[in-house]
Amino acid sequence: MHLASSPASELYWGEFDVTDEDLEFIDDLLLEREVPLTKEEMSRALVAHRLDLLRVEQESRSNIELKTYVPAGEYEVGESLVFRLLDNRIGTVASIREANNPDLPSFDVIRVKFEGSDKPKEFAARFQEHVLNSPGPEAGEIESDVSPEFIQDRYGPPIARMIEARLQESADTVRIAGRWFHNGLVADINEGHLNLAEAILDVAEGGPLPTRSLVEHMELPPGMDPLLTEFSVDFALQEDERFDEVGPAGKILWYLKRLEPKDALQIPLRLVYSPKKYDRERLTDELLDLERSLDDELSELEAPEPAAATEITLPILFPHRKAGTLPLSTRLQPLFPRAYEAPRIRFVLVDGRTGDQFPGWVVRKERYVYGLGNWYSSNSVPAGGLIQITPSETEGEVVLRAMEPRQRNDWIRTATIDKGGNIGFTMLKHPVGTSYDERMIVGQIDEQALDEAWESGEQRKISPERLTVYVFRELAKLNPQGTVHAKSLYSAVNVIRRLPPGPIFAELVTQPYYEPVGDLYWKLNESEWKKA
Amino acid sequence: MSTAVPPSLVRPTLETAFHIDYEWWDRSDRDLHVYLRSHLCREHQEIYAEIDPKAQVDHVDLQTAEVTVLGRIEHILISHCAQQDDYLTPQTSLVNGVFRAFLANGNAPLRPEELAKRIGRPARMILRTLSGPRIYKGIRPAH
Repeated sequence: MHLASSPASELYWGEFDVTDEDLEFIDDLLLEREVPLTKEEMSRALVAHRLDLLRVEQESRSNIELKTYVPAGEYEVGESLVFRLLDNRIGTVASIREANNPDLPSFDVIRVKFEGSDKPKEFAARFQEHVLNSPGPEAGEIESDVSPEFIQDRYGPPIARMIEARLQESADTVRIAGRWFHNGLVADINEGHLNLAEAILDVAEGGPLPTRSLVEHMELPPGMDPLLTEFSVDFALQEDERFDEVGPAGKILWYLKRLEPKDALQIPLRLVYSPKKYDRERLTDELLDLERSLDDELSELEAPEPAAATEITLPILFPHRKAGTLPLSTRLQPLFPRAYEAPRIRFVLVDGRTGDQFPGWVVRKERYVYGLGNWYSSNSVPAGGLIQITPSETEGEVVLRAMEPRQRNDWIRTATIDKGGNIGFTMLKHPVGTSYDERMIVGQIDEQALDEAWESGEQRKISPERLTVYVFRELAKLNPQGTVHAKSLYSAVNVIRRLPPGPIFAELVTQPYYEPVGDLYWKLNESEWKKA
Repeated sequence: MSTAVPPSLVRPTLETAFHIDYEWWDRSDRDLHVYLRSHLCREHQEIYAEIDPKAQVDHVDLQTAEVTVLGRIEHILISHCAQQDDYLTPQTSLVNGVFRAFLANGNAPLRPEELAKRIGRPARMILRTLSGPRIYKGIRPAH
């Protein structure tokens, strides 16, 4: 295969921009094919089209004897030149002057006017040391005899992104689930059809159902192309607030919004975070490592390198345990279904021990997975309990396992309520149903009283700084050294208020009243606290 | 002295192209030439006193041979210093690396992923650094 490796080709494809003419080509393509296309399919077609144009241009130019511009050349005013690196544009020398540069050997500067452009450009002439002085296919020619597949492999993704960006601005195209189509070809789906779709989904307890299952019962006019029909129905459903597209990437599934779980439509109160400004630069490498290991969906972390999803074991943070959710941290995201556009994805959770299946919801924007409440309760998973998540061999399923599921009575950190209704902490012997992270575990003596104290919201109104000190003191009294581990502090603060590790850890390293004592343990210096 | 500039209403993303905003240097009363000097190679550092920092020269683009008028220091940086092996090394700080990458390409706007390839740092780290409230060395979104 011929490789496109010349600087001209690199420049042409590397700095590719989608022009208005390209957009017209894509418009025609959608109209001619009459099927929805992905950005990759359009990119492939556009690359092939551009290569055709290059071939035609090069053939026609070979019939006209025009001089190719090279920096070493000497030119005359009025002379026409071909500029290979500028998309083979033809320009005329308008004037010539002596260059001003004491660091270089003497050379000329030619001012060139291009066809169809008012803005002249200047180029070097009589300039010996330049790569363009050795032209030929390697340096100056854009290769047109390469395969579209080669160009697509090498430059396809940015070209596809540019096409999509241009189509988003266009009123003539519509998109659903990663496919684009010409607006004018979308079939009319009327209110009656949509009401039927609602009834079908109602009977299916909300869904999820693929478009085909809906189309079968929607009494659409016969003779329509099946793919066009499905796309038109998808588009109509997408534009109607009653329906929600909940399929993973590449699969369109519909659900009735009013029958979706409330906590999948709206973030559970326990998970709501009011962002707090803090100096992230102050966090030490150890604290950043700890943050990465905590799988908090609110942490500002780099996405890990794409890799095959594998099993992950994590302790469940108190608010997630209460809300029946999982954090969709950057590490966990690859284990769950993804989507191009759908804000929520319905999928199947499988209990790895019993094989029981139940619905789960990936809520993309707020980064959590909903649907584990009953499973946590039936497996007696405590806050801080360890669970393992693995991808299933079946697409659209994710397997959960409670680690070492057996009842035990252990001395653990337990949330209590004092006479004033404040949440505090003590050590108590408490039944636990799984193995757990000792620094993250939080037992509950009276769950109802704890919920009432939390709902009253009094402690949640305390500033994060004071709340951190309050919780620190509560934890410090549970051991004779009076020290608290950063992870325990993070876990316990989250019993009262949702905060990611960053702002809590920043308190530890920025406030003078916290003294590090090693291994991520801190001590409260009361005299410094009083001064503060 | 005020270095405040109107903040962009749109948060930069991985698709945002950045460049050096030379007007930022003017507005902030910082001496660009002094800073540019720190990016010169050893050979040109030694003869710096002979270079008139205000002199303008015809600079020839290394790829296209297009001529643009540039400050002489920038011309030397682009045509000579940026071609040296030690211009960008793993030890170059992120902000200096980004600045040097823009000097080397004639300040053509680049997205974080393009910068990442040039300076060997993760694109998201570059984006995070350049999209904070503080403007480093005049590096800002190009539009």
